[in-house]
Amino acid sequence: MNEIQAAQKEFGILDRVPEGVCVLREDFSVLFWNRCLEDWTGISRSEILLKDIGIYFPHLHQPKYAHRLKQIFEGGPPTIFSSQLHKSIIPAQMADGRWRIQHTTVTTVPAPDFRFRELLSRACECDFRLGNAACESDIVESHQQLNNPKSFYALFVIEDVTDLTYRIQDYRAMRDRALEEIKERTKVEEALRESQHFIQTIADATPCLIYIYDLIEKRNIYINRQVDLLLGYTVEEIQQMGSQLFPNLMYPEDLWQVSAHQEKFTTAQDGDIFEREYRIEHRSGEWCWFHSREIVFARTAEGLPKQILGTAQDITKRKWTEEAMRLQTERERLMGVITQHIRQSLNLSEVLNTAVTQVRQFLGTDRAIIFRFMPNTHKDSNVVKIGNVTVESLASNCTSILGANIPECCLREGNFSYYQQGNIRAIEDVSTAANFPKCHIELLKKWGVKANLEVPILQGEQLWGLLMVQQCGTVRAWQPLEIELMKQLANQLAIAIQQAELYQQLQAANEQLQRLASSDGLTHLANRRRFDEYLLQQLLILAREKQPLSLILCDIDFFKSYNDTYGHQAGDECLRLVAKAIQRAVKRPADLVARYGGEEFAVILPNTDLKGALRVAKEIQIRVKDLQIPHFASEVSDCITLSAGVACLIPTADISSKELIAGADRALYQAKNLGRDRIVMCSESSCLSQV
Amino acid sequence: MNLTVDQVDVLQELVNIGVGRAAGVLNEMIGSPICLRIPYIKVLSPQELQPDLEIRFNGDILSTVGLSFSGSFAGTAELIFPTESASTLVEVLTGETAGTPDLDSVKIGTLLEVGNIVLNGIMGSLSNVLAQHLEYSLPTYVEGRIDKLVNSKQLDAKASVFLAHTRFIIEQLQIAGDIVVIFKVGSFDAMLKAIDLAFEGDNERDPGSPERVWHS
Repeated sequence: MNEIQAAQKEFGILDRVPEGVCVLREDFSVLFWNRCLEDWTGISRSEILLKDIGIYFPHLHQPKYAHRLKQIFEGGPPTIFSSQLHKSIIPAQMADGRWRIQHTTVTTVPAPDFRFRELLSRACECDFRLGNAACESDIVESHQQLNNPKSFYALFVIEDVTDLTYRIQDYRAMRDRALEEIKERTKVEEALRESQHFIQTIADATPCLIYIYDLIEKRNIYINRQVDLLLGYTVEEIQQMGSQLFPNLMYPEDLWQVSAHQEKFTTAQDGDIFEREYRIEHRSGEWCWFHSREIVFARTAEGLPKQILGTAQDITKRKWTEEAMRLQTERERLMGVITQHIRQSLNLSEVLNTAVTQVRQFLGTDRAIIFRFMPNTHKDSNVVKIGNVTVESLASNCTSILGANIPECCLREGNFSYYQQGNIRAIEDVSTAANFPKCHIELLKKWGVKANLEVPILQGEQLWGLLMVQQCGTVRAWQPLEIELMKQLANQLAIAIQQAELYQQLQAANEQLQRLASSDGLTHLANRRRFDEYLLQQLLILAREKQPLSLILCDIDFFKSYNDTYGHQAGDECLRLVAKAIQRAVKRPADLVARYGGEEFAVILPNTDLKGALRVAKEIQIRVKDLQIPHFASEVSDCITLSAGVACLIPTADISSKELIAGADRALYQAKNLGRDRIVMCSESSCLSQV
Repeated sequence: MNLTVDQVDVLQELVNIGVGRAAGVLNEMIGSPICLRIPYIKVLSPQELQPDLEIRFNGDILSTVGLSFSGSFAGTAELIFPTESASTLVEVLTGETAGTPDLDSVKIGTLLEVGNIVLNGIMGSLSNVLAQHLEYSLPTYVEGRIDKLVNSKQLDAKASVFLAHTRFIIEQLQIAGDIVVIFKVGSFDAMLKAIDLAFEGDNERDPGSPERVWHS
């Protein structure tokens, strides 16, 4: 049996393992080459056996392999050629072109000693020939010589770790990727934390509230630290309030609008901004105005709004300004109204009533009055002793004090000059008021006043009166704006009063002038101008009404002789008496008696027919006769008599006053011609007979 | 156990030879200069081993390649690194970067071969010089803390432990590890006897200069 056969016998079983196995002799010649290696390399054992493996795989002669294999052949410890450091000990390509990656373990295998066997067989022969003992010792010696060093084969066991390696490489790549991702994620998280910190810092530094409110949980989710500054509460305190947040802090009037406001979000599009203004109570108890802008921040899975993000700005100062502006505007409006009323009306009592009504309405007080001082009857004295409440405007809970007087004690010298200097008295609470005249306080108490604000109405140096607004129900702190308003109002009133008073004077003067222009100075009857005007007027009226208009013209008989006889003064006196008599005879207010000429009188009788006019003329005649003024120069009587002409017509558009006058005049002329002291009537075109 | 100065010298020299051979193999294999140094050796009792290693490795997790041997003297030879250093070593040898400190199977293969080379160097050196043939098992790789490694050996209290500090110097990098050879009861004596025997003959041949030979 040769060495190859021996090796095949010993290692043949390794043909069945799925790993590459080969056995090398000390001289690198191949003694065994299993089927697996035949498959891998395509080199058949018949080809490679007993050949130097270096012929096929020269790298094995390189020192890095040769040196380590040498140890094996010397019986040294196993040697490992790891796939990581060597890849392939026996390079072999797979069907897909990749090279098999191999993990190789080389172990020593004692070589069956053919030389020893040779010696042994020789020794046996020797033993046979030479005798046992000597031969044996020779054999042992030579055995020791040959056996030491003993010879070894190298058994290569080559494991295919290609798949394993690739799988591990994949795994490592995967792991590296995962690690990379984790690193990336960590970085992103860090960036996120940084950006959160950044946002947090910005949010906390922004001078307004930034918050997230959960509509479903009905509580605050987030609020920035400004809340501490703006409302005096910490973030934790706000969040602990939970659903009680709004009921706790919001102004009751604004609170009931919350649900209506939140309702708007159900139909809101993303990005829609809802604004609102409301009051929130600061920890100190002060109410702060806020203006909020809110958007939908998060939605439920169903798309309903869940959280809203909002900012709220403290607009308290702006609100104050607005309120001041509003008051200012209102004050100006009120001033405008009062001024307008003053222009509309020059009637003093109307002006005063308007003023108290408006001021009470505007200030919302219970009572507003104007107290007017009456000038003292002693013209030299500046002290006003008399005065009373001239106008007032009242709320239903107040009693009227209209016409009430101010007792004298309130109007003493010092007190009075206090008003005269334009000083204002504002009393918040009458019951605790100090530094005010006792008498004055007593008066206010008597009137049931709790708070009082009064301003003097001055006309130049002259104290005209006082404007007062009063609270009867409660005390009241008067605002500077209100005081300012009262002051301005008093100024306006003073002007209005002055204007009204001037107007009253003017009116009186006008009336006087009117009277002078339309009356006769001697008899105080209407003069000729007035007569003409009135007649024309009545003609127009009665033409419309188709009613008769009568006219009486009368003349004192022989008046020239009376003058000559009794003198002009007596003549004037006579005229006055006759005028009075005629006036008395005329009953109806629409009737007008006028001095027509020197001793000639005219009476206009609207709505009076000829008969009626005749009655009046007779009445006049009788009354004049009844005067019994002696007139000895008269040719028809020994006392004063009248001649009268009466005319009557129903006016039409084409009839002028001249025709009526001419008719009456003709009748009078006839009466004179017919011997005087008589009445002659004229109807339409022709005069009627004498009566 | 007390060794004579000569015994220590001989042992140190044997280890140096083995390590030198291993360094040579590694150099050929990776193509960059690698140097292995053994600053000193010592002989310990098994009880002293654990504290000694703990001081050296400070509770790190260790990677160990072990090689059991039997024959005229028996025991195991171990190459011990802190796992992190082992990983670094593997990186240098394979040119691959390790993602994590744990050594996956790829790294284990590499380390196994390195340990194999180093331990083969030592054991080859010992057995060759002493002309003693030993049987070897396949190298194994174990990872864990010192106590686990030491306990797993189930050391006989009378065993002897031979410890050699090792330093790998590759490029700018220094990696410290230990070579520990644990001899079963009586084996160490057998080895020392073998040493004495081997070098008596040497001394006879060259009596004037044993130091020159062993301390070069």
